[in-house]
Amino acid sequence: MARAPELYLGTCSPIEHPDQSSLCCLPAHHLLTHTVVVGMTGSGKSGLLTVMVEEALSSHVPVLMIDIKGDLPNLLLGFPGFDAKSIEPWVEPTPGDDCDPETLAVQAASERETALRAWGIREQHLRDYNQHTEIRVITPGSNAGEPLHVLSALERPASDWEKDPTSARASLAAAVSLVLRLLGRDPDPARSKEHVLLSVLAEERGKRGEPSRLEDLLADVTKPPIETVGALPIDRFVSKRDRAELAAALNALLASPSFATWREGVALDVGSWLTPRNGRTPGVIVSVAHLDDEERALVLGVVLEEVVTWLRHQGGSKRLRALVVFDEVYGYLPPHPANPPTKRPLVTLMKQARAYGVGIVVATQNPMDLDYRALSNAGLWCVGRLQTDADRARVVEGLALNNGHEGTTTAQLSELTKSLAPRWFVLRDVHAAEPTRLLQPRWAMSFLHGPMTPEDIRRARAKPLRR
Amino acid sequence: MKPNEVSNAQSTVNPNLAAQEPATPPADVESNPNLFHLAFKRVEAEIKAVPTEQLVPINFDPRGVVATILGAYPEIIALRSQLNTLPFDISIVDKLKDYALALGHAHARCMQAVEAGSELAELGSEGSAIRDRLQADAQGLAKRGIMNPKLLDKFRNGNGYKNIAFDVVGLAEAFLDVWDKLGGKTLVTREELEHAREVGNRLIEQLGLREQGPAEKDQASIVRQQAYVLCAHAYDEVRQAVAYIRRHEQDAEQIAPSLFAGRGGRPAVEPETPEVNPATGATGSTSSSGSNPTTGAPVTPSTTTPAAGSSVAAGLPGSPAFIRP
Repeated sequence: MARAPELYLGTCSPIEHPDQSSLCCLPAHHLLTHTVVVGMTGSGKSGLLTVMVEEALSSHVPVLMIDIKGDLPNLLLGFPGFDAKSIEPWVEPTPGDDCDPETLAVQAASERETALRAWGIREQHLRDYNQHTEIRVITPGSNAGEPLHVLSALERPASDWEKDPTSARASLAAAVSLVLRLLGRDPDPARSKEHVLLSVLAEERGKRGEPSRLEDLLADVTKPPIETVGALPIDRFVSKRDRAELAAALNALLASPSFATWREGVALDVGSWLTPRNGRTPGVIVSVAHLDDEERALVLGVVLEEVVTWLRHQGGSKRLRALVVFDEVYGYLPPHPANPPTKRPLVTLMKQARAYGVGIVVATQNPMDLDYRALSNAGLWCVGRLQTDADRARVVEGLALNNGHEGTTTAQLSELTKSLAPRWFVLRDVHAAEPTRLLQPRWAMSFLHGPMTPEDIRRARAKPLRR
Repeated sequence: MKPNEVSNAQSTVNPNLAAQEPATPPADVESNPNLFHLAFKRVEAEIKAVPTEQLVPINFDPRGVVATILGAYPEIIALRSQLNTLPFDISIVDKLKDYALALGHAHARCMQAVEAGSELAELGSEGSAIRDRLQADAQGLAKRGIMNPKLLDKFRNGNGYKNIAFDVVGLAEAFLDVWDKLGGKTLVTREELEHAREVGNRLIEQLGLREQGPAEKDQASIVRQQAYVLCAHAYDEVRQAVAYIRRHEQDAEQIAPSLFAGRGGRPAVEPETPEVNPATGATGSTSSSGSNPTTGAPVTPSTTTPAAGSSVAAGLPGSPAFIRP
């Protein structure tokens, strides 16, 4: 029987003896019960996430990543060697620094080599990782990365209406919300009559196996193929005049060149994204760092609903089949009563993904803003340094909800997280014999340049790293 | 640009000016501090029109910025005729001095707002001592029927700065009301009463400032940032224009020195890293080993015991797990 894959995260040590460390090789299936990474800015969350992703990819587990602030595209910088030349375009002198870029690159390369070697990673490992993985960055509404046809879920013929109407309806609602947001109208499915109208019209088309292209919906809005919405005649539900206004707005949107970027590029097809190509395990980053807050929530709502739809088409599995990583989940999984478009699919994923062999990893620096009921299934917690009493109390409360562990550990955890050094975490793994340990993540193989701008992403994609 | 203009301009430049660090403000500024306020008023509308999204953290001492610009200004304005030949808004040159003075004013206002309420402790302590002295004298006078004992009861040892302030002012007024009747029957002097009144009033004023301070401080801080952005941007524009017209002489930096000048670079930090064993790639002795799931190749990260107070760089095996206070 093949040995279950293990993720080499770094070293672990008993809390009382941080000096007595041993390798931390986490069985991949421990991630199936979902992972929460919390810690203040500078605690090393992004580094730990990068290491987790690198290890999952190395274990041939495809990873879908949601990137809010631009850190995850650093995975594009997984250079296959230690040479300074590759790093040179990515080092930036600090204002006032006298060093030329070449010298800085030599220093950075030397630091990287020393650190990776100290963690037992040689050039051969870097080459293997580089050759067996494929990192893609998808940037909805921008061509810095691969543009995304965000409305492809709406516009392609759907076959899900018979098999899985719930998921199909959720995907549709998310896409319609995005359209209404782009029109500058109320995107709330619960409040907006226009949302209801467009959804009903699109659903009618979907049930007939027809696509709901915006052009088709525009025609349907003008001349509705239905007579009633709910119990009301359609003209009473949304008057002819209001429908004409909506149609005009849809037409203006269709004609707008800036809207074209939302309708071109790769199709929103999670299944194909996560399918290995040419023997390479895919790591797909959906980066929305360039969008405003509302656009991010709506686009991610559409993407995550699609993940749920894909998930439900998978068979059950007890091994880690894929990993979904959400960095900086702050604001997207808030406690009741806040309900952004991302919350429903995230809660669904946290509840159901395990059965399908999909692990969810969420990370945040703001633990006050998490729905801990949704996280009650998380079996793996990595808690970095937390500065405020309120943050510590909230995390400890979340852990107690999760594990109901003994009070002494709770108090101890609160105290520990106050004084942790950067790049150290308290690791709580409910599957481990010794659930609570200290984790020092290894150095990431990818060069951590810092948050990447659209221009950085463009540059990184323009220069393939492969040898 | 005509060559002779360059040559004329050259003769007006003092090449030694750049050596002054920081530049000394001109004499007119030192002799008339009101110039700052007047300049602020002249460009106040422009300052407040700087959008908040353009504000940047102030990473220089504003006083240094003001001094540098005012010090450079005479040499810059001497080049006005040549600068005017460039496709460049010459009014920036004309207003540069006002921008710098206005920044000085905005900085002073900000510092004033920050300092607001800082005298409280000192005034409170002085007010308390005055109250004790006046009460002691007033009690004797009340027993002699010169002062109203019921009135004095109102000024008895309430806690807090507000009580001290009103007690002191009240006692001083009570003494002054009967001053003509006292006829030298007290050790309290008229000057002492005037001083008590002043201390009480200043204490009340400082209390008000403390209460209003945060809002005022925020506002003053924003105005200072706006003034800084306006001034630094204008100076930057002027420097670029000067750099162009003085490109052959290469003395632009001396005429309009960089605001960065003299700040120095970040000191180079040598990361302390453990010695690497070239054979194993590991640092120090190895207490644990395993295999890298990436490739199955052996992995031997260093898991050495960090010495107390160890300075192994963060992120390397064995760096300290906890921040010691």
